[in-house]
Amino acid sequence: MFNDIKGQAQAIRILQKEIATSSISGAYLFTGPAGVGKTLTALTFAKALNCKKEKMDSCDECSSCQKIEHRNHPDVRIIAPENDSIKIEQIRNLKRESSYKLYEGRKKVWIIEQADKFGLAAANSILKILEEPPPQTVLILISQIKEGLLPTILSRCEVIRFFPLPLQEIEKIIAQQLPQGSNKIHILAKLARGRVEEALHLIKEENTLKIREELLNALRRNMNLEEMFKLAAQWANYKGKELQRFLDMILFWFRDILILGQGGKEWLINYDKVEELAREKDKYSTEEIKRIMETIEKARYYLKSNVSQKLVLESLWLNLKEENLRKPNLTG
Amino acid sequence: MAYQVLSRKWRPQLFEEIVGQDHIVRTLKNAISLERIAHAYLFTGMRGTGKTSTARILAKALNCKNGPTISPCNQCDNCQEIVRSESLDVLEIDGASNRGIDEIRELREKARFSPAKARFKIYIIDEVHMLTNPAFNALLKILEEPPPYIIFIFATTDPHKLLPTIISRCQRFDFRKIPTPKILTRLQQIVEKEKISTNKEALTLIAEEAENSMRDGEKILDQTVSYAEGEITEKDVVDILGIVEKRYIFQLTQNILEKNPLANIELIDQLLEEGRDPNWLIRGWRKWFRDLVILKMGGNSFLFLSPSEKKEAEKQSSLFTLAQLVHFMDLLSQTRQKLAFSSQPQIDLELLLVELSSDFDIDTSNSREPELMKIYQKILKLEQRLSLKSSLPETEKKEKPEVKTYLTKEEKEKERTLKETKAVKQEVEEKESNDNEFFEKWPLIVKEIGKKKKTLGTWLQKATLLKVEKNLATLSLKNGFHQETLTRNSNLYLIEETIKEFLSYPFHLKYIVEKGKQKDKPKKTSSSSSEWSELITKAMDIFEGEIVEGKTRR
Repeated sequence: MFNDIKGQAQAIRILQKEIATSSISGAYLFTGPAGVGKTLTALTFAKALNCKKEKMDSCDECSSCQKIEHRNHPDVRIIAPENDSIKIEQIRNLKRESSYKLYEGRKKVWIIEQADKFGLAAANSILKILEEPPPQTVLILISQIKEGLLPTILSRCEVIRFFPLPLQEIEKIIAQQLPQGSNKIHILAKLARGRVEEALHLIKEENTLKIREELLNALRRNMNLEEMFKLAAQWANYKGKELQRFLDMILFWFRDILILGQGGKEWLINYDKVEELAREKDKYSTEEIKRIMETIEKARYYLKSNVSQKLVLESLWLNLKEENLRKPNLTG
Repeated sequence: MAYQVLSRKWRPQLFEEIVGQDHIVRTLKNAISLERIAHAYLFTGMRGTGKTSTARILAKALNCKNGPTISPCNQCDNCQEIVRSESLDVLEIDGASNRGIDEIRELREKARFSPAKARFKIYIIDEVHMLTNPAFNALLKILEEPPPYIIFIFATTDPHKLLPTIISRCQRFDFRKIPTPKILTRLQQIVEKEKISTNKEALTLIAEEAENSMRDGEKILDQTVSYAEGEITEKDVVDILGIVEKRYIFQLTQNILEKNPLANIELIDQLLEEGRDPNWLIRGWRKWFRDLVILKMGGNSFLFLSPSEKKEAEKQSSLFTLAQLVHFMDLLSQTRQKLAFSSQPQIDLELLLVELSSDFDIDTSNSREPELMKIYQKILKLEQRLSLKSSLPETEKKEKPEVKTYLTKEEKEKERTLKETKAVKQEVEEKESNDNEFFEKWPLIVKEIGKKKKTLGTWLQKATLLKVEKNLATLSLKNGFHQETLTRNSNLYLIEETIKEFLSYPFHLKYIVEKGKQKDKPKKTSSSSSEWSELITKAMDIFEGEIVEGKTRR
């Protein structure tokens, strides 16, 4: 039900109003940060459009809603990148099937995940159907960053924006799941950065806070090569999403150093580490922090593009350490 | 009938309804009335400017039962079939999906048959830039000399991807961006006919945000209708698109003037929580700085400002230097690029805010093109040397060994100072004036070094400048660790380069560690032979290493 989606009042308001006035456009783009409910909203919208009981919402009980929930409704399909990109074959298939009659529902809904991963051919081949979708067909593109899409695609979609949730709301969600008065609530909410999925994950993974301690210690300590490589090897066993989380934590750390350097004590993410941060803040100039952030983003990019995890991590640590020692020589 | 979005419902059906493309409409109309119809047309232009619509109208105009006519009736079978995309003789092909040679071969086969009932058989190939090269080549012959009843209309946003041989066979029409006022007029017509209640401010904002594309404008209008309760207001448009209003941008800029990055960090946090789009913020802010630049240069036209905004802009513009404004725009562009990949946009923005507030006393040439500046300094230095060389050949010789001598070897240093004292009087005088200049500029130099590397800056600040003599400054340091860091090759390089930036001639530093705190010195000298330790130091320099554990095997 739309009510189960946390935050995102604006998106839900638009969608429900379009159902109410039966002015559903055939092409949507849901865009916003990871883990704030884009896919959930798309599925709920698909349910609502096909629900046998409700008109404005999903009942989550009828056979149609159940089938969508289990991803086996013949009229509601999900397309995700194959081998890291959406292929033209997938779009051709979509077009072919869209010309068929409905099997049992009222609307054919196609949800295309990670729409920024369109191959060039696929992206162009979806343009015509996006502009003039067959009646009873709804296409929902989902993408974290709308700038990654062709302007011709953007121009054809109704763009629905999703936002990170305010800190207080994330705190509320976390507080519901943890024993009352737990001292972890605030720091977990800070680390989640407005992403519901992340918050729920942080609650489940009890280790996260422990690993954070180790990580921040490692960042403060002047490690030698052996230690760095050991740490990299240890991390290499983690999965992609875990690693991204650690990179986030490193990023937050340096971001805090930057903010504290400006005197912004009340804006820290790692608010429980003020003293440690204060000791670090004189060691880095803004320039240096900027370069470190770029290094982290680069590592993130490499991890996404299938470079060996261990190598990426080793090079990340080396680079972070180098930052303490050396400036790149412009003249060589 | 199912709901149709405004951009489809209000797709132009007559030549007269096409907005902002008068040059094309006129040419096509004349061609039709003079019966000079080409067999291949190429429509190019950016999204939402009317390519596909014009292609369909042209098809109707040619195949209408009353035609060829410049005003298709939209009533007859032929026109109706085209409107519903059911015509057997007007085939709209998606070039991006049917892009291979096989599809084109099939098209050629079918093109041999004359039209079923209309005058012409018209092929509209949309997104034609996606055809493969073999497919394009397979088209060439039929495109050059098609049967008399065949007409091709190609539409694309990317004409540069077409083969020149294709372009040369088509009559090409470039669709222009649609000016904002024209979009506004069209939106007003739609609003009137659809009985949507709205106000002019909201519509103007939509027209601006359409960025010269009619479809975008209609789409935003559609969306706002779904969002608004009752009358559409500016606020609804702002909410839908995540626009950051000018007053916030003005405030952000004001905070930069007041060097208050924290206030900006707070403001950004608030704006993002309200659902403003970070990308929009960057775009809007860049536009603002652009306006400030134009005002700064005395320009008055090309501004995107209302009179009251202009007043504020003029005030801010006078408080920045041109170099600063350009530097700000650079930073914003950098951040925009980062945002396209970033998973933590807020942090990117925060970094930007700190950067915008720091580096305030930037000197354009210095910070914008550091490499260029270095080259420039080198040329200056060389010129200086050259002029010296021609007048005083001896000094050049003496300067040579300077290149690699470095501290610790204090004896060599002394030797050099001795030699230098013997050097020509003139030079001594020159150097003395250099020394004075160094004294004056030293605090500035330290500050600059600190900007590049904070630790170095702090330590140099803590050091006392003992004396300055003949291009050699002696500093007293608090402890040996400082000395070690400061003399590390890369740091040494950084310090000397910075000095050069200020003085345009080399200047050397010598460090003395304050007595009593020199605890790690004796260790090194106690090693069996000094030659041996020198070797180690050299090795450490080359590999930029450090001694982890000191063990010798016998």
